[in-house]
Amino acid sequence: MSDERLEFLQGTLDMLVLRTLLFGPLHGHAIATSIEQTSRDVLQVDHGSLYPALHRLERQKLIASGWGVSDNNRRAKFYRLTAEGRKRLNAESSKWAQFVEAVARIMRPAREED
Amino acid sequence: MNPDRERDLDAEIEAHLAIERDRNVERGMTPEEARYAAARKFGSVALAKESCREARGLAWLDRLGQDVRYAFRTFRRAPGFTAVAVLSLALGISATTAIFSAVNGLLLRPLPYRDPDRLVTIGVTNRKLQLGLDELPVTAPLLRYWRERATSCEAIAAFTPIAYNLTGAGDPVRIRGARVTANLFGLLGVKPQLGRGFRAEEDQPGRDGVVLISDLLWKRSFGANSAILGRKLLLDGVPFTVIGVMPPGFQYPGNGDGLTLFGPVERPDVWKPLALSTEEQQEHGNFTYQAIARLKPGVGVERARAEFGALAEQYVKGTFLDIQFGWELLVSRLDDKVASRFRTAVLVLFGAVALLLLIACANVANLLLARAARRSGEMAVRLALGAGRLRLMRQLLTESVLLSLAGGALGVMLASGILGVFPSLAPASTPRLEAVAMDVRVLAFALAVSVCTGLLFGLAPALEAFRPAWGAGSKHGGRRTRTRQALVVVEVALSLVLITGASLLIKSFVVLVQTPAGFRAENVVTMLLPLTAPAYRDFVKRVLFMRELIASVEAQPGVQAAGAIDMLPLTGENNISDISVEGAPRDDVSQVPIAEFRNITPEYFRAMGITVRAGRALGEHEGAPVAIVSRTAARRFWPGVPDPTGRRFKRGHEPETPYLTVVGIVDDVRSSGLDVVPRPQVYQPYTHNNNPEMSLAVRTSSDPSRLIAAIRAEIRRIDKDVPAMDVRVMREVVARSVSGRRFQMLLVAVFAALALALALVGIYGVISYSAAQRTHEIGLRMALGALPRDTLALVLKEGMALAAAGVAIGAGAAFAVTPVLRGFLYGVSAADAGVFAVSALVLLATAFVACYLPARRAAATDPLVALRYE
Repeated sequence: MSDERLEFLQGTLDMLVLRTLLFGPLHGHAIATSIEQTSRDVLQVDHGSLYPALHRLERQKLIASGWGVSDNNRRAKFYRLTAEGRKRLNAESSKWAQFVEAVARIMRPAREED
Repeated sequence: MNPDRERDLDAEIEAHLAIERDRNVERGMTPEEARYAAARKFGSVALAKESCREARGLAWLDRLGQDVRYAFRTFRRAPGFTAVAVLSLALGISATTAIFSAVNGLLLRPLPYRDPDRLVTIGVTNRKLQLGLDELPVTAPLLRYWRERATSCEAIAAFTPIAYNLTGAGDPVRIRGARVTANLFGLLGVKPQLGRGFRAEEDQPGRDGVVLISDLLWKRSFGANSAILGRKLLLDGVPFTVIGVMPPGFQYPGNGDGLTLFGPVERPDVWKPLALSTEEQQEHGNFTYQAIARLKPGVGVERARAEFGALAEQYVKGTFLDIQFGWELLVSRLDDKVASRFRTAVLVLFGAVALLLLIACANVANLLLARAARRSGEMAVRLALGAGRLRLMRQLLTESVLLSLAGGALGVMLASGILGVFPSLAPASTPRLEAVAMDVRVLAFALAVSVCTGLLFGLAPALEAFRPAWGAGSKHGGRRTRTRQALVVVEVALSLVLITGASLLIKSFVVLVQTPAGFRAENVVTMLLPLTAPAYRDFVKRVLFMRELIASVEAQPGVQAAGAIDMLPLTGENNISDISVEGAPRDDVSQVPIAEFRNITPEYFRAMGITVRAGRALGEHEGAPVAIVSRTAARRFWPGVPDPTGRRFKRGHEPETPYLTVVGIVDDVRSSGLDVVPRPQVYQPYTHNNNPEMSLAVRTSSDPSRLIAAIRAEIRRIDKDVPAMDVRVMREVVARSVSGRRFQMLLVAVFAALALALALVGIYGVISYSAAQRTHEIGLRMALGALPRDTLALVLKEGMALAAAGVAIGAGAAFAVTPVLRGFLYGVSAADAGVFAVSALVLLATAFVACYLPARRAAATDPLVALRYE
């Protein structure tokens, strides 16, 4: 698993967090788990660096937080997407699509040689 | 740091770990395993928290708080270091702040008048006549010509100083002030706080019986009672109606702002209209009226000078002024002129304190470096634990800025204390002393200086944070030692500059006070007796008063001689005129001799201890017009004549003026200042010619101040309305005349002494530290047979080499810098070799003391202990 683990590109974590929150409020641990599971464990979230990202997004008013109770009855801090966060996510998504396409175009010849 | 947010963060991370633990347990781990796995997965909690704080954007503030708290902890752990550092800085900053208050008050703050940058003074000078004065006021006719025609200015005002005996309000007092044109106050933009200013019609003889008084006189003599308006004041026995009281602090034309060219008008208390009489308006040769003009907006000084010059030229054609060539017009901005009086003096002091501050900084930088060496272990550990170098550097700078802020706070307190006692230390004649005070600008300056010095001396140790030596946890600090040595060299060099400057001023002062003044000041008491009341308008009455007074004073036990003169030496007053020597041509203007004229009673020379060199003193009954001249006068008026008694000359050049026969020759008296080469002097009998203001001089056989009461009683007995003013022993008059120089010398000497003390501490610190570092080496040397003597020499040599380098550099720097003192030196050159040598020796001796103690300690090292020393 750890061999296939990918390093996050700078800023990607922020985008993934926003995307994860698109379907409802989640606490930090659930966000990390969700990203890992959705990516089928290809993306490993460094738990230690998740929180600085959350706090950064909150400061930018892209997400908001409040205390709640988790599935297993633990008090935890939940984050939800703000309207502004939604807007930013849309912008980031299209930028990301362009980026992926561009990288893919560059990488294509290498793949053809396989 | 926000505690709520911090608690929130703790709880959030704790919740995360708990959830992860729960999941791990669900997966079948033991609670113990679950906890480890969760912690491992999360990584460093502390780092995550730090990053969160940073993400919140308040990190710098939090860290500043941390740094500050940490700094305070380290200070508490090293109280000695902290105290020495804070005190050094407080010394430097307090001196700098106090002197900056003077710079601010005297040079930066605008004069307290409306648009002071548009005020100009107008005067004249003549470089061909040997006036001994830089600038003269103008004449009444010229003033009038300008006032009628000049277009470059809104208004021209003028004034001339006066003094009155104020009677009928308690004891008679002498008050000073000025006759001013009615437009003066409007021109300055100052209104009376009570009553009204002068009206234009009051500026003519007969309607000028009105006065304005100062706030100080109002409070002192009239209890600040507003009923003063309309009251009559008896000035020299003539009633004047008080029409207003000027605002507190208004001192124009006081010594500082008004720049009278007649000698000091200290603190004017009364103003009356100028109201020139018809005769006064015609006096073409009377340069008595100080002119001040307000330029129209947008008009430069140059244009005003051109216009005034052109008008003056037009006017003087065919007059007295035209005959005597070489007259020049001087137009200058009032604020420039006021500031130019003390600009150099204040800036020299400021330079001295700036040096002192730099030395203090070097010292503290040295202390910090020594401490950094001791803390290198701590720093290495913190680096290893993941602290960023930038973070460490910031921590060190925080520490040094905190130190300097503490020093600054203490310094400001010291400075305000200094400023509190300043007026009593500074010579009374210091102009605009009241402008020297703390204000927002001074405080801002102190704050800026504190922060800058903190960064300056903190820089060297902070930069060390970037040196790899720390990362390696190295015990060696070769580079650091070199930095410290360089700092000591700089410190010694700067101290030498200050000490040399101070020594020059001290030597100059010693030379000055040893200059023969031409009279003997010991056991002489003097006082001014203004005989200006109407009863003394007749000059015979004045002669009779003086004769009776002198006779009764001489009859007092303990009195050796009593005499009187119209202008005492060293009081700033003068009476100068050109003279004509019988039989000598007078066609070359630049060769016209000038002399000071004095009127004296017969015993004046004996009372003042002035030696008669040839001929005789004056008698009580001189029938013919006679005079006594000084040796310089004799030499200058009759060159090559060994004894000119019997020769004749006269004041001025009018044919109808009688010639005076020289009956005696006396020593030159330094009348204008101990540092001023005496002009030719002429003494005439007071029975021929006298002035209503005579000063009594009484020589006694013991302490003259004991006779003051008796003399006052005699004066009261003869006329109770004659005030005895300015009662001073002559020694005090002499001391006052050099008080400005003494004050400057003392200030610079104190700064130099402080610099020397700081240098001593600096050298001591570096040498004892370096000796301690070499303990191992020294132990080895001693084990191999070196004697204590050799060790002593080893350590001394290191220290003295630094001191010698500093002295060499400092001597060069001093040589380059001391010429700025030239204007303040008397009888000593700015490059006086003796002074330079003595200063260097003083510094080397100090350095020797500073090195000797650590050297002796090193020499007493026990080799066994030293070899085990790590």
